[in-house]
Amino acid sequence: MKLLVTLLSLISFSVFAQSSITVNVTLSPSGSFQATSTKVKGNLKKNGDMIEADKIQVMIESLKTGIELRDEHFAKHLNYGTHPKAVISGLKAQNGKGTAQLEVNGVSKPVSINYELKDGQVKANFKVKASDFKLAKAQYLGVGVEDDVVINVEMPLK
Amino acid sequence: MNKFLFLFFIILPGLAWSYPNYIGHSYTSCLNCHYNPFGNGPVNDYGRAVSATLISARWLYPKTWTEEDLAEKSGFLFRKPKQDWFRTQVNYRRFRLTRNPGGKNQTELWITMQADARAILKFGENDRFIAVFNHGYAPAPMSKVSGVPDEDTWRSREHYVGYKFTPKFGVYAGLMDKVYGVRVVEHIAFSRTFPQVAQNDQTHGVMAHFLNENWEGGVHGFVGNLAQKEDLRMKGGSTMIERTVGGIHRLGFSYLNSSNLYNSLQSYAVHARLNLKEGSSVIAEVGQTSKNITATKEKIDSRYGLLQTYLRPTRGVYVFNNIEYAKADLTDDNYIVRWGPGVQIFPAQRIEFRGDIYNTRVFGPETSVPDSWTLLLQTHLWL
Amino acid sequence: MKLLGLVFILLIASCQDYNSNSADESRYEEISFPPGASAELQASYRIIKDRCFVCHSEWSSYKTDQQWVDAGLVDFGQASNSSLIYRLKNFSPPGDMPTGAYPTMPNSEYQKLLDWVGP
Repeated sequence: MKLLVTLLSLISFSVFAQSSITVNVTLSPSGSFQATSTKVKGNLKKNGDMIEADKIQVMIESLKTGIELRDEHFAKHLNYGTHPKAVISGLKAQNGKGTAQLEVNGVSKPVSINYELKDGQVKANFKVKASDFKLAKAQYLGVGVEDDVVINVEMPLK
Repeated sequence: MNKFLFLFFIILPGLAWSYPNYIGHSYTSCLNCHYNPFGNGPVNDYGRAVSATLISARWLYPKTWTEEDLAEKSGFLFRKPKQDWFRTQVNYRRFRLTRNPGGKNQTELWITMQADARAILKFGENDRFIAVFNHGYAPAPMSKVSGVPDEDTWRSREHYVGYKFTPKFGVYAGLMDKVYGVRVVEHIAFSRTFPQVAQNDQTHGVMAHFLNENWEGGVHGFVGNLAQKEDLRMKGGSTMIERTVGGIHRLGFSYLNSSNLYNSLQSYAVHARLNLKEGSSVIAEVGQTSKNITATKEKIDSRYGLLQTYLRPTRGVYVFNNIEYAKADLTDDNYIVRWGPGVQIFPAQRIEFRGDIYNTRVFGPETSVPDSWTLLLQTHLWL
Repeated sequence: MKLLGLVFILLIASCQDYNSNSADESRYEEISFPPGASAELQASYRIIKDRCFVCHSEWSSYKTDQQWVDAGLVDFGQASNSSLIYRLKNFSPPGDMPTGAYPTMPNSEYQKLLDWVGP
């Protein structure tokens, strides 16, 4: 019985351990939204004490905000036509902190990452400025978007 | 085309407004969608677009219309405004009130709750200066205390000017709702009637609104409704402050102090607006009021509570449940619990159908009062 | 600006002003009683005015104990024989007064009426 329960919990964990990228956007004057995608390609690997990833990428069009029209505006604003992906490359992390390169809209910038590892799942976050990636200030009918954006990444560690 | 639109306005009643429960869509502040930073009143262009592309379903639209088309057609008379300085809205709301539905003493009333027009003037970057006007029909009150003269049936519920020194700080002056508590749409809610912030309790005054990453609030000084006799006008002030928690929820505190020649009223409340995501939310408010009667020196303390859940099973449909508590006199044993489930359907922008059932029960050790049941069926249109 | 001011004045001048305070004068005003009216009568009259006159406006002229007796509503010292009192509690069917959509009289107010009429 104990073996069955253990096996079931292991299976459950592997079934539900999912990758996702969430872009947390603050609105002006108030409010927020999240653009989320579970269609994340790439792997996190353990190398001794280090966590590494060559390339983690997500298609811009797969990021969903909860409003269809906002999804379209979000993707257009990130110039998905000419730059269809956002890519995190050269990730190296240890003891809860790390660095990587983030490429969005054809612009590549270094980012500092905080993360925690629990039950084989990595939860990482980092803050960026949209303007650093040559993204124009977004505004729609008087409601704008703040420059600071927080990105959350969740992935299983292989 | 003009005749068709005219008939549309006459025949079809209804309106889709924004509500405080839209925190479930991560809109923590009313300022995103409303000219009045604390909600109610006309919605701005963004609010209209949200109404068309998020709140309302698209059951009545051709499939060929894109979401961008819906946003473009969300303006007055389905048009994208050609200028930036003037907006208008017209609203009509009518409902059928059935008391004791299915019972021996069933009574039915049809009531036109509202038929009004709103004009908004706005100038400057990010609508820095606004002037809002509202005028329209208001039904004569159903319950009257003896001695109150018969009332006219036309009123203005809002007329004010506002100036935003920054996008997050503005001052507004004129006739507005008092800044207090959660401005739920149910105007019979105890949380609105006890502190006297119900559908007709607008006041002339000056209000300041501020907003930053973690806090939002307002301070309001008022002199009563200047259309009313001076001895009846409640003069005083109020404040409401909210803190953003977890980036998506709001906790708040309100205080109000006002008086006229006959009584004074102090109210304070705490409230929560919780985002359950995907358009669903929970709203709760608990408050206490103290009324001092000038002539008799009597003091009456009352307490009220509201718990409202809003669930959005699909776009255009909200299922909600209200549970309310009221104790009109804290020295007394009697209290009231009102339970009201309902459903709101927005088949398209500008159309709302709403159904509520209310059960009101009086609890008391020596009281024998049968439950009262009320059925409300409402249609609501706007242009 | 002058135009805005004119519009404001027009909007204020027009119309219905009914709100939560419209009845404050009639509900809370000073009431004059004939000399000798007891404090209990005065307190009870205010309660009855607030709770009952909306339907029983004909009672508004009863400002002496005798007038309430003559109207057949009160039997002093006999609350159980005073319809003004026994209709308020545990009167089923058709239920306690005030009836319909009007709120039940709280016990604190009921007690004041009992203090006036007697047990």
